[in-house]
Amino acid sequence: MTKFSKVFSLVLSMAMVISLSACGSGSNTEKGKSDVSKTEKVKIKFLSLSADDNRNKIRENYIKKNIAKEMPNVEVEYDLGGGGQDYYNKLKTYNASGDLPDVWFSEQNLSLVVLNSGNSLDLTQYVKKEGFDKKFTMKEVIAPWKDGKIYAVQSGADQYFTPRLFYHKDMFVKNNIKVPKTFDELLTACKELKSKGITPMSIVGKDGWAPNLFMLQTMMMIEDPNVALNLANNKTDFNNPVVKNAIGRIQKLVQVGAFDKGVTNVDYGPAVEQFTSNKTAMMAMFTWELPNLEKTCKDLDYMQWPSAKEGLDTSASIQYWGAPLSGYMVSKNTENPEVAAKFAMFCAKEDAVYFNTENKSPTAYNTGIKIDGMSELAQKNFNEFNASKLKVPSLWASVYDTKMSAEISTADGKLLTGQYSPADFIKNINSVWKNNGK
Amino acid sequence: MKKFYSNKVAICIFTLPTLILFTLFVVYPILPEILISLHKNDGFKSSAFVGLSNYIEVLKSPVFWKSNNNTLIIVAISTLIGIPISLLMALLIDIQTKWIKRFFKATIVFPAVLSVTVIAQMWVAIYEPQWGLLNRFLKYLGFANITMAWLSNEKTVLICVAVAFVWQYLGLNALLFYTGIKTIPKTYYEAALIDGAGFFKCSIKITIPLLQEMTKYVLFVSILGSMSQFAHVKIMTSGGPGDASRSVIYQLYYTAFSMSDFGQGSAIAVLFIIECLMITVIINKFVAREKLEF
Repeated sequence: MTKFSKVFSLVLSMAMVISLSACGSGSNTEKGKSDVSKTEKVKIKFLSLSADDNRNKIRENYIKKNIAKEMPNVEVEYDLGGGGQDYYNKLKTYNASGDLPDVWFSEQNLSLVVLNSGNSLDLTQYVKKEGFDKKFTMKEVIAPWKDGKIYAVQSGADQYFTPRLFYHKDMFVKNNIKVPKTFDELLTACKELKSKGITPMSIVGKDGWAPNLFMLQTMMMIEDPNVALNLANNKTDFNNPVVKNAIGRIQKLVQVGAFDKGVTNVDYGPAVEQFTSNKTAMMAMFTWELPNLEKTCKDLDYMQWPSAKEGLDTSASIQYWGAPLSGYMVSKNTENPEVAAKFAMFCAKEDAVYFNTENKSPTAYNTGIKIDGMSELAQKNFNEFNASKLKVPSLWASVYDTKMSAEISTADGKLLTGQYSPADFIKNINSVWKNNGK
Repeated sequence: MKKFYSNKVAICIFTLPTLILFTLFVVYPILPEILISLHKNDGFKSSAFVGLSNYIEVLKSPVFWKSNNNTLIIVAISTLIGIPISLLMALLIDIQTKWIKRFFKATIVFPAVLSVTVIAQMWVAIYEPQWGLLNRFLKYLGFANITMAWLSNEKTVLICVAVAFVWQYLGLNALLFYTGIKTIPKTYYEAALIDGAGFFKCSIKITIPLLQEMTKYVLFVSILGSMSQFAHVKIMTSGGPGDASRSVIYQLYYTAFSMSDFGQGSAIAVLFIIECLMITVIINKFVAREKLEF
């Protein structure tokens, strides 16, 4: 028995040692920048959004499919980052631990965090070398940051995205409800729909998503779009009466039951599903969802945002998405900066190809693809976008810094409970706004 | 052999590896954390030394105190409701027949071994206002007037998260109590039976008093586990609506990672450590001070 125990212990120890040896890195690559021979593949770690249908299609059907043809010496490791706050937190954690991927998709408020830490690569020389900047019809999209350097490359599809109030025409007709032209009419329409057992409006409420990204700004713009522009240019603050009214409007919508009962927990997918499966009559969402909505909703249309001021034409001003620091960024610590920068530009181009071909939507990056067969609704949206006299940048995408984004998410989440007064909202958010961008 | 195990050198040799790992990965990181809490730090570099300013900001913050209260509510629910239920489950399992005992001993730990994500998502589905199990059950019983969006209501969200957390670990605590019950000599019960004592009296007079050591252990584990509540809050509500269901650890995470303020986040961590130490001292001082013997 003792002999058996000894033999058994020896075998067990050897098994443990052998299995531990497999945990070694065994890496033969040198640290720092390496010369890449034509036969040796360069590994690029790429973090992308994965909670968004468009982003998933771009990655799966365009980037993955075309990378071998366009950059045969590159091997990509795909890291799926989820979406919303989860994506932000993942990237911030990578940034804090010094373990950023080589290339990732970023939005302005998040890009600033990485930029301020000195972890993002200056892409200017690579952009100029490839002539990437010459392919843009809207030069603002590839304009350098305040320090004269380019840190992010994008397709410029974002600039054409704007929030709309989509609705089911048939539902309105069937229930004899007039399409609202004013905010008061919108409240009335919501009450009527609710009385017929229909949830009036679907929004993404989790983490205050819809108010964060566009709804609060939209509620300002339906009264006075110049206030939203002044806020974007830091010429006013949340004490402005128009801002206070905007907060109050969201509170009123909650109180009349415009949204789903558990709206603060409604995530992106369920919000869209509620509308496409006819559980809600309206949906407040960006136009990036338009192609997907048109596939499932045969009676789809959108209405002009109801005005909160007599005589104000809400179609004369438009809120646009995108910002100079939105897009694909590259880590300063990447082992192959030139290859990584090229990959980032490749991703931006694939974005544009997707939006031009499948979404039939325009991009600032000129792919040379003629956009045929734009749907009637998409054409209407495009024409109205171009015709609008005042284009206001998204506060969330281009103005708020990390702290402001986090705190306004909390405040907007509370606002969607219907029990958070505008006065409390302003009191809590103004102190954070004062330090925004500093 | 007895001489070997009572040898102090032998004790040191066997406990040293764990002590080294514990010191390296638990105790030592507290030191740089205290250092960070005395600086302005955005997660990748420390800028100015600010002394106790981070602590003052945290202690002045109403959101911190709200998260602290939320944590204490979760602890209270876990301790005052969860532990008695676990004890009752253990007592009931003990009086069952052999096969029923075996079945329950195996199955009551299932929730504890399942991933927190699975449990949290399950409870989110139960609380769903339109088609969730809870609202449907209430409607079936004729209580449609009290159905609501449980996780979207500031008054109910915290209790809902606490219930999900407590439910997950009820079985594990019950198993711990059951283990304790098995160590009580049968002779006490035989003597009590002769005197005509039933299940209830045996439990009150014999089982519960002799379980004090195990109760103390379960209290420690339960309270400290409830104090460090994060996963259920994050998955079920992300601390929402707004900040209504934030726990201290969630507030720490929010401050450090969402607000990029590692200075204040570290200050919250240090304050949390102090709070846990205080609770540990209190439990040690007032619970099961002397070993009870009949």
